[in-house]
Amino acid sequence: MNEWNTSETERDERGNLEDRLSAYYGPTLPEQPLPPTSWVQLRSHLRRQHSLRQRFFHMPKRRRRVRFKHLPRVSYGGAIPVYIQDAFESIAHEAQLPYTADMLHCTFKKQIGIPSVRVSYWGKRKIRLILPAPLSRPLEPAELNVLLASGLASHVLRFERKPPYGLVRMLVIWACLVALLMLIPIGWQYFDAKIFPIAMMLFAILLCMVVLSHLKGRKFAFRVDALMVQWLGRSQVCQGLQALVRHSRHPQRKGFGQVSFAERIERVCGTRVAAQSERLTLVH
Amino acid sequence: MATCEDEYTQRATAGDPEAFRCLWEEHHAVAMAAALRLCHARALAEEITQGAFLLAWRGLPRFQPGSPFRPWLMRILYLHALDVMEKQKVHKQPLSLEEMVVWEQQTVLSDEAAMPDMQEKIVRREEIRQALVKLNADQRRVIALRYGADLTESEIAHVLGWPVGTVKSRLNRARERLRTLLMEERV
Repeated sequence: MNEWNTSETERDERGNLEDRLSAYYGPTLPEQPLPPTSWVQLRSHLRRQHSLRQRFFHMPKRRRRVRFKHLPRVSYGGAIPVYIQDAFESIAHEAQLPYTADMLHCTFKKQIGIPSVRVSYWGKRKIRLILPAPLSRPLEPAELNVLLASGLASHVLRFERKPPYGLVRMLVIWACLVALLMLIPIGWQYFDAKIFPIAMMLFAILLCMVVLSHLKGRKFAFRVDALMVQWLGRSQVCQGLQALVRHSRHPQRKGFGQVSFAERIERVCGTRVAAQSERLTLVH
Repeated sequence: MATCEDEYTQRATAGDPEAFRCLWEEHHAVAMAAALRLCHARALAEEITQGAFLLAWRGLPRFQPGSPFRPWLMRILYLHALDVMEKQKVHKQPLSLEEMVVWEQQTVLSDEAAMPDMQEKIVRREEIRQALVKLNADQRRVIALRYGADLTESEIAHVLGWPVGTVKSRLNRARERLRTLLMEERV
């Protein structure tokens, strides 16, 4: 009796699962027409891509050969949204850099408010675009261009135009830190008076390096913005920065070696960001 | 005999955006409906649809002339949708009540007598979603194409480029796992 009941239950479960999965996805939807502006958006990408190809075939042969390896490739498995790949390649073309979307890496993170871009010293040195997951709103074109152009500019300034001094600074900081940490147990054990000036010297070097890194980081951020203005034009950079500020919770906040959005806007656009009352509760 | 669509695809392959516009106008609403059914979020579905058309535009030189455009486009759309959804971890996001209401308005079978109340629906959907999270990416793909696109096993094999046997085994394993997970949850 019990066995019969069990097999009956299993059969029910099987049918139940099929029904539940069908209910989860729902029935076939009626046609969902998009607004006409969608075609305009798509069309702008088509034109850009077409003109990219045309420009490629009108290039001198020598340059064409260099760029051949970097021609856009169709990738059905690419996880980077196609419009982002196209925007990146378009900016790289405007900047006359032989970069393609292969250079770009896209990460979706849950707990971030606004999209950002990073270039790391380590690994494949890719430009990493970090987007909030799920993407609750479509990125504005100017905002996306600013993000991609700043990533590209950081990459160019960091790896192509200058030796990586930042890396050297970082290594010195780490070496000083390690040396200081090693001095603590030695000083504790031997109480040697010579150790104290060495420790002080290391600490001074460490402090100098940290301050220098912070200042250099800020200078670097301004240089990135200047290069971005050169590529995209001041008005587009301003639009993009304003769009980013609109979605930022703390436009005045700056991290170590970084520049706040407010400072960037003031420097690039010459306008100030209105002070936001971040935590304002109205009680009736 | 060459049809209008053949002419449009040929012209679009040669780089004519106006011909591609005709193809877009003909097929975008169906593509959008398919994307929306898979991902349940309008903004994401729009992004997927537009991305699929852009990929189709890029891939037109490889389109076989004379063959119908829609199945080719839908294959691109399904692959692109699955990639985007995996990358954006859509299955990990719980569906909000607001989205659920919009979704109910979209579906044809939204009559209240046939279905339990909204809260119960959300609970049942959440159970399925949480079970789907625990599957691996390939299992989620076959489940999405089987139940979210109503494709047969051979069609899924064609879309994903896998042998039919692989699709069958992955589908069976996915169902078994889902069944176990849902039963565990009930206990």
